[in-house]
Amino acid sequence: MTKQEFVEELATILNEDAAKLTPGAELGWDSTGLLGVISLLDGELEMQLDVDRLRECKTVQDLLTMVGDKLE
Amino acid sequence: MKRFASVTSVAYHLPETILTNEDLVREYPDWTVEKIFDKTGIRQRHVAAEGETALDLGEKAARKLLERSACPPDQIDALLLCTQTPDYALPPTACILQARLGLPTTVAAFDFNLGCSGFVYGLSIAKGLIETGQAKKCLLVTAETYSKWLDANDWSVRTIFGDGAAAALVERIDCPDEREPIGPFVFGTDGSGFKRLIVHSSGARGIGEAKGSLPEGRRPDRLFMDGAEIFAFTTRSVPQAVNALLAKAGMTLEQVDLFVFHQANAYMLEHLRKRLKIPQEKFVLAMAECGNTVSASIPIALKDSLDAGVLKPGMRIALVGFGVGYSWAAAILTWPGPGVPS
Repeated sequence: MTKQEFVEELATILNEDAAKLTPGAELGWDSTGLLGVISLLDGELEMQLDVDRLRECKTVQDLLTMVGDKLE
Repeated sequence: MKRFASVTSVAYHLPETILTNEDLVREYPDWTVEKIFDKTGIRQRHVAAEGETALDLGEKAARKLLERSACPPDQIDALLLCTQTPDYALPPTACILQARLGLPTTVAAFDFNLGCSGFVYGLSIAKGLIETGQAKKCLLVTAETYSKWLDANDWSVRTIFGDGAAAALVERIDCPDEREPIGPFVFGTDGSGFKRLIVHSSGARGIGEAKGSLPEGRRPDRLFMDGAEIFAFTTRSVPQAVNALLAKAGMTLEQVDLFVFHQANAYMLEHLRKRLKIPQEKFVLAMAECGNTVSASIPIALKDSLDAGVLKPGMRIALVGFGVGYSWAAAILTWPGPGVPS
């Protein structure tokens, strides 16, 4: 999965416009968003994590940094 | 001939009162009936009445089982009862149930405290008792009334949990081949997650670690569930457990006839199904009419599958329980039938 594809998936999960999800955009987590991202990370990137790490991601860039080299 | 333990019968009982999505929407107007079903896969849950407990539900499930399997109560030599909503902290619920069912006073009876992994653990204990010659017929009861722990204002848990009890008969059979009807098993425990699904003031520690740290409006005597972290926990543990079980059994995924997971909620199960690449027709979903019944969910799903003709004699089923603790357990169960006499 490329960075662009990841951001597009993220936009769908968060019900946002992908263009608005710039690296500096802030993430407001609700349970639907958390479940969706956990599902995306596990299903597409085979990345299992503690949800506290996810909650600590305040911006799109934080999330991209955490996902790191799992993206192409 | 080798002596093995086998599950020969299963029954369940749900309390009369039903809480539908329509009922919930009246309390939470921001939601719709369809949205609740889409998120959870649940249309309704059964809820125990005031004064009706897991013991009462367990008794009814056990009576149904003994009647249907034509097993006289005096033949039971072990009663295993799994609940997290006992009538009392002491005495054990199993002792009271022994008297109610009229089981012989020579019976071994005890409670064990597990949630969604409880039924698979119960099978393991029953198998151990039977195959070491300590018991011939075990009555395994998994009975739960989480509604007693739920905060009426906590939407996230009220949409999911339902009350119910199941009873299974595990008995000694003479098996012509060397294939064990129950097993192998794999287990898992990660107590570092204990605070993610908890009733803080339900035991001797009182409010314990929740003192001063509970979010505003949260009652320490009500169930707290960190749903997102529970989901993350299942993604970390369940696929691994299934793969470990298959490896231990020397089976491929294709050789499993049916997968019966703990019926947590449809969202979680659908993710796990896709992740493990299990075909839809081999994957049981049985929570729509009764919700997540904790340790009763796997035997309820087995019974519904039997009644629907999905579960057939001789099938090899992968059972996977996971949840509160964290605790998880998985096993292969062969349903009695051709080649597996009961």
